[in-house]
Amino acid sequence: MKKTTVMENKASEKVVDDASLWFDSRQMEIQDYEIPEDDDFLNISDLENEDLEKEEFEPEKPITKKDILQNLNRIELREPTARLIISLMDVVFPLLFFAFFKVDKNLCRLDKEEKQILLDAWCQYLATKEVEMSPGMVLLSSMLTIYTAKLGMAKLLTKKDNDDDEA
Amino acid sequence: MTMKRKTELNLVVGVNGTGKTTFLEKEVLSKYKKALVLTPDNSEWKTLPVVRADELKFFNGIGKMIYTGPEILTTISRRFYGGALILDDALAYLNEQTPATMQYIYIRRRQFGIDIYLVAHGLRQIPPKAFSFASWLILFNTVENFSSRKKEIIPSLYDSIIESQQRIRNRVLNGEPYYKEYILIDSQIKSLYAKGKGEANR
Repeated sequence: MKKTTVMENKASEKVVDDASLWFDSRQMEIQDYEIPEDDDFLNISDLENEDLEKEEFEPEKPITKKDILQNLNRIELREPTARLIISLMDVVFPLLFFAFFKVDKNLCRLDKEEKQILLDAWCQYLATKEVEMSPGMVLLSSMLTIYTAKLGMAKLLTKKDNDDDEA
Repeated sequence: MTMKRKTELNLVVGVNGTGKTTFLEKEVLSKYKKALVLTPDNSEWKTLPVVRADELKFFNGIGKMIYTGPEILTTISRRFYGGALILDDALAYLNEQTPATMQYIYIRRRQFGIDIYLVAHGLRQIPPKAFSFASWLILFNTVENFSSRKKEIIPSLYDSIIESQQRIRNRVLNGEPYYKEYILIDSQIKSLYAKGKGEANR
């Protein structure tokens, strides 16, 4: 707790210092300068050694209603995304435990409280890391994960049945 | 003895309605005897008189020019000196400029005693190279993800900007809509200031 307070103080001191320096600078005179002459300033030959090519950067685009809706959609998707991740984990991990350690998969499933803890943690993580998933990506990844897990499980059970038959 | 300083390139960044114009009027224009605002929008800066290109060389005071094409900034770079140049909504026209004009904004301004204030709505719209030549970043509330610039600017500066961005967001959310922070980019300013203070006290 003490450590946090110290860090906050340091941060605010730094801000105040830089701000005061900026304000102090406004009171100072600018160093001596030349008065430009119309024709001698933009001499393109000066550029040969300067390596100042025209820059590429993102031009300003007007924000459309579609952009706003898309961004809102992405922000609002954080909780459903976290919920989906947990549901998938709740399917995939018990299957993996069953496949590798031969434990009852129903015993490895999450209860309501554990799901809530993980949901909060995932929401925090997605918000902090600014993870943005489009609805299409959420749909595709959930389908892929569920069906891959189901396929793995089906193969495993088929193999087990075959082994039993052979025995 | 008055302390002297080198000219500065100030990046002023924030979304609409965060107080950039009020800040520029109160803290910048009022501090200069000579200042010129270049704006692409005729309806902005209504209280300022329009300065014509042919008046520029002998112009004194505070005025504005309307951006109509790249030749305007070329004219300014040939005729304006000893004051503040505010490039309002700069990213709307910066990508149309020649390398020579960009060189003027980044480097040659010093020769002619010009402080530049480059005003933009988002950090990502600032050309990456501008960070190499900038003196200050005056950051208001912004809503974009700046991480695409991570590899283009030095890590300590990137971290400092991200920390400030987060702090500003929190302050805005807690009821301070016009909160801003001053981030020193050119650390030489601090050492020159300290040296100047030391000499002045001697």
